[in-house]
Amino acid sequence: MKESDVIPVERRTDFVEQVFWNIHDIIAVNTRLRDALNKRQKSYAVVEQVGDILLDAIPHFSPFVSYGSHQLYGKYEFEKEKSSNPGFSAFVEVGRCLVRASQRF
Amino acid sequence: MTSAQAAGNYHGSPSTSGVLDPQSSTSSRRSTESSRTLPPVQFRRERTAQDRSRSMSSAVGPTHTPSGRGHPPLPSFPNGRNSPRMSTGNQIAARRSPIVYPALLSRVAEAFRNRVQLSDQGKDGLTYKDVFDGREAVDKIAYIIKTTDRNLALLLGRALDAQKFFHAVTYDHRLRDNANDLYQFRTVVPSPFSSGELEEEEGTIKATAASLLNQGSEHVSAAVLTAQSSPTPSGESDSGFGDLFDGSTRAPSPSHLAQSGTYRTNANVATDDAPLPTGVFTLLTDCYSPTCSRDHLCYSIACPRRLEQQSRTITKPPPGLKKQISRESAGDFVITEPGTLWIHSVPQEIVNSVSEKEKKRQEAINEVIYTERDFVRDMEYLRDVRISPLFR
Repeated sequence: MKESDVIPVERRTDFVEQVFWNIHDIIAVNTRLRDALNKRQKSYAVVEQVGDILLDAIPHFSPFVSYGSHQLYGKYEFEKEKSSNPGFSAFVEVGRCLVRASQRF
Repeated sequence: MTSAQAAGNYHGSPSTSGVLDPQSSTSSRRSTESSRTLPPVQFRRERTAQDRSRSMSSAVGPTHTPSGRGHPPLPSFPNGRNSPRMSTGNQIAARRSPIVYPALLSRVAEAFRNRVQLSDQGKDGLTYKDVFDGREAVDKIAYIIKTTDRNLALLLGRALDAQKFFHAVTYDHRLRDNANDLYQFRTVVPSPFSSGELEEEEGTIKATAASLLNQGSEHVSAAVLTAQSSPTPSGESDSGFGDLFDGSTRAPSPSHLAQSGTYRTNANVATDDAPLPTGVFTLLTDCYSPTCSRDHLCYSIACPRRLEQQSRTITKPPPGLKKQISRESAGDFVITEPGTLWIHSVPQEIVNSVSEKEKKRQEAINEVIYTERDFVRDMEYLRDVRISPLFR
């Protein structure tokens, strides 16, 4: 069974959106913040401050508000799918094993 | 009659009767000189009692014999040595005998579902229907298995939630002994997309439990064995699984027998809900040794009750224990990775040139930065490993 068959194609996009919501926005915000922090750390052995970087980033944090308010809906969709779709349940379990394995490295 | 016959045999023709009928010969000899001969088939325990009470003229039952008065007690017969204490222990055990056989998750789960009070409660501004709180859950489980050890009850509760019997309303943590945490029973949501999957449900759950077991990393499920893999010593264990709604013909305790009438009716109702968890909670199984009781240490180091017995006989568990366990669970799903310390990332001269306070500040700043790196990495993992494969 291909992984892409786990969720039927006609509701796949909707399901992923319900569960993960605006994760791409969050990744974008945090990637920018991470890069700025990394740059600061590489430039100075003794970092004078990071507060200015955080202050610059915070105005762009609205995706977190949206994500947080939708989180419970996402969890509900996730659990519902897991209990009604054995294929998805197996997909989740396999992924969990992968996470465990990757933690060893 | 036997004694007359035996006496006749003994005095009359011992050689012939002994050869022709060894049974009667043995019994004849036993009746006349029981102190020197072995009974043909006897438990060693009984024999000891007989042997020891030989010096006393009264016929006292073995358990009440204050043996060991004349002889030092043999180490291989702890029963004889502790017999007075054991009988009190049995009385206590009878008084607070568990409502169901506590090692069988299906039994405990059913007793739990029948007893727990469901209500509508609010948390974080949302109202949840038909929920119960963590403290009540632990109360009920402790009541069902008749323990005062809340930690044990909590472990058993987690064995139940490991099989998705119930879940936190927020789905994000295991059972905790806390009145602020709310839980609801798992309900089978009829799938609007496909039908006929209810039969598969149970298999899925078992598979899930088994895979949790195989990982072995969740301390609770490690204590739970699936039916197939556990050689259970007691007969009633076998009857518990396989058939979830087995009518409990081999009831483990009298109190359970009394309930078994209602058992079946409840089971019929229960089929409408999600299937009950199955498995054996080995911490609470009975020992294979007939001399093992709750209140004194079993001779076997592999005895499943040994920890409980030790805590009962030697020390009481420290009261702070349950809280520690609960706190541990908060970090169950957090992937933590120790970041490299700032102090290791810069040359030694720089480390030497800054004050202690500055070192601490640098470590704090470093923590902010590597935490951000970890977070982004986790998000990228979600995107690349969990989301993208669905579309591939």
